[in-house]
Amino acid sequence: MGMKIGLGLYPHLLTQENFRYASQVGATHVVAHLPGWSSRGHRPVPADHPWTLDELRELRAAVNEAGLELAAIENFEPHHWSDVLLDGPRKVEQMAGLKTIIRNMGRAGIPVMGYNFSLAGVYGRTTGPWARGGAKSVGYVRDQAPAPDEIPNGTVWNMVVDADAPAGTIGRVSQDQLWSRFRWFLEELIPVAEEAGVRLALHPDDPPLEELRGTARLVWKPELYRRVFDLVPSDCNMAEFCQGTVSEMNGDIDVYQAIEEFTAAGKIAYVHFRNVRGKVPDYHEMFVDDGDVDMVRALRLYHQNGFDGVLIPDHTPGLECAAPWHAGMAYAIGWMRATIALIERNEA
Amino acid sequence: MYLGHQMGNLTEERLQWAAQLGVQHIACEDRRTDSIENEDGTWNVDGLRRVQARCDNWGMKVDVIALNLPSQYMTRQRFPGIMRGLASRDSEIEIIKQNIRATGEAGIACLKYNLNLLGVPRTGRTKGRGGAMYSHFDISKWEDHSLTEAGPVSPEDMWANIEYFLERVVPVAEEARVRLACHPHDPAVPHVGGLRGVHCVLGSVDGMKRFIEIMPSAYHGLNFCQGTVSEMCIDPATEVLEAIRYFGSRGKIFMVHFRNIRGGFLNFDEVYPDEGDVDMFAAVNAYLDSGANAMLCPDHVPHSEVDPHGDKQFSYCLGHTKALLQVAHSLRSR
Repeated sequence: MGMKIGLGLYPHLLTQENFRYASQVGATHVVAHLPGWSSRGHRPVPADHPWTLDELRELRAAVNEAGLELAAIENFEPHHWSDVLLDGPRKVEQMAGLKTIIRNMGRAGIPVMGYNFSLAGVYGRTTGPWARGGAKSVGYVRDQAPAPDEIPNGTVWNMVVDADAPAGTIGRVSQDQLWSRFRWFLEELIPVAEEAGVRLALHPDDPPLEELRGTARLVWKPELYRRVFDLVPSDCNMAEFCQGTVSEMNGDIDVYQAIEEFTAAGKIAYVHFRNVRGKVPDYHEMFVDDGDVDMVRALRLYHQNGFDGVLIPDHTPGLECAAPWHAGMAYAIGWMRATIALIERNEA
Repeated sequence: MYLGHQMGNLTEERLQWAAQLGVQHIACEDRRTDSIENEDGTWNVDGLRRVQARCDNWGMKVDVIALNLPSQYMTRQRFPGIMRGLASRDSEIEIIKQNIRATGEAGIACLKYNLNLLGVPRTGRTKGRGGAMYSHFDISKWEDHSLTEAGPVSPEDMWANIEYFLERVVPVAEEARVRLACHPHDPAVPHVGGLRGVHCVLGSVDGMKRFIEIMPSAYHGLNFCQGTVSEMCIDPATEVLEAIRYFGSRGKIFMVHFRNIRGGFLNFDEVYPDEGDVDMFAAVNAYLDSGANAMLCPDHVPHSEVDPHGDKQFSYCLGHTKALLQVAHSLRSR
């Protein structure tokens, strides 16, 4: 029981070697970030095929073999649902594929599907030596952000899903249109998720702007999560609570209030636990102990409101050494492990 | 109490990595990179100043530098006469004195050293989490009972050599205003018979208590290797905290090797800080309560094939220590 620490792993990192590393640095869970799983030679099937039961079972077994639990899958392939996002001609067919994925996850015993209902996705961030000691980190810097342009046809989330798409852009997508597509997505998928025992977990929009590349964004203020949960009330309609993104937001409630409210409501499936300095449109990612948010206070709030799920560092600045990503994660996990233990013992 | 790191290779990349982790104090074990040590073993002040300047660029202070008295087996020591009571010890001690003076001139506050004959005996490795291999010692598995090159070394023999050394170097340290931080004997060995006939008198808390009384000087103290101290105890969880309070309150903790074990006297594994028998947060509070003000360094990490240089694991340990300190300090400032 209690809060658990996980590690998010991209397709090329889903190896026994990395599971051993995760275990060594004190993680007990893995979040598998699967986009790209098909295109890097890991799977001999096209990207738009739903993940099969066998594949998911094998993935979970590989994680379990290393003594870890598979806490969640993060992100559909853009090819899985591009027309769901775009309200395109193949959306019904794609929705059937999403339902298959969720059912397969249920049968494979993978309890959470993290997703980001977004057309522009994560776009416009830059990297620079902004963290302590010149460590490389990501940020959104208004002056360095790309000039606003519309999304080309055949592209979703910066990934080309249809190379043969006609020239031109997808045009503007309004808030009403986006919420309408989102409602359809939830109304279709939630009942299947409920039956399969899989929770759908929505990631907020990073960068948290109202609009990007001419397209509306869903959760760009913390309180907008309330609208998400009210849209289709269900225990399977939850948040992939990226605390980092939430702390970048300028909303009516702050990150601490958001943690309290959504944890108490039982709406947080898992947490991206990272720290940031600044808010949109100018923010930079920092090491977990070095940003604007009091991360001890944040953990205390999760704990006091009954959170007993998984927290992952998500991303951190890279450390100057032979393994920048791994070392950065290890540092964050070490910090989290100590602090969580103290909070759960009521010593912090 | 604050975060520190002990570094054996002070390249710019390593310094940057440490700075990124928020380390602001280091114990330097690298006398090569800045050409600190001459061929004859004496030190030059320019080299000492150079390493300080390079660390200063990264916002780090060289709190401690290592004398050439490492925790190595006697035949690998540059200055073996000191602990073996050989005729060469007087000239060896002269070089050590010069090193102390050079350190004082360069303005570095502390020197770390070992008074070691046996190195760091271990009997193997235990498989730990994620397949990491923990350094293991179990006296029942120790097989070599032959005498060493030093022959039988009784406790009195060893105390005599220790006292001879301290009587000569501590006055020099006082004049140079450089603290001398001695590491205890790792591991603690049987009190009767020792190991291979060598009685390692600095391998018990009583021995450490006697040690600090030899010279009544504020410049004579300990590299408080908490891991090694744990290895002296039947019940580390309790006894280590008592030892911290004892030596901390007497101002004898000049730096800390902040690592944890599972087990205790004559049978233990060196484990990750979060899974050992000593409550590391209680330890931090014990240091703070005792008035100690020193750096907490991770010292060792397990052997890992997926982390051969230890970068990932040291990053983990530094994050862990940082959190303990952060919470401890914030509770005290409320």
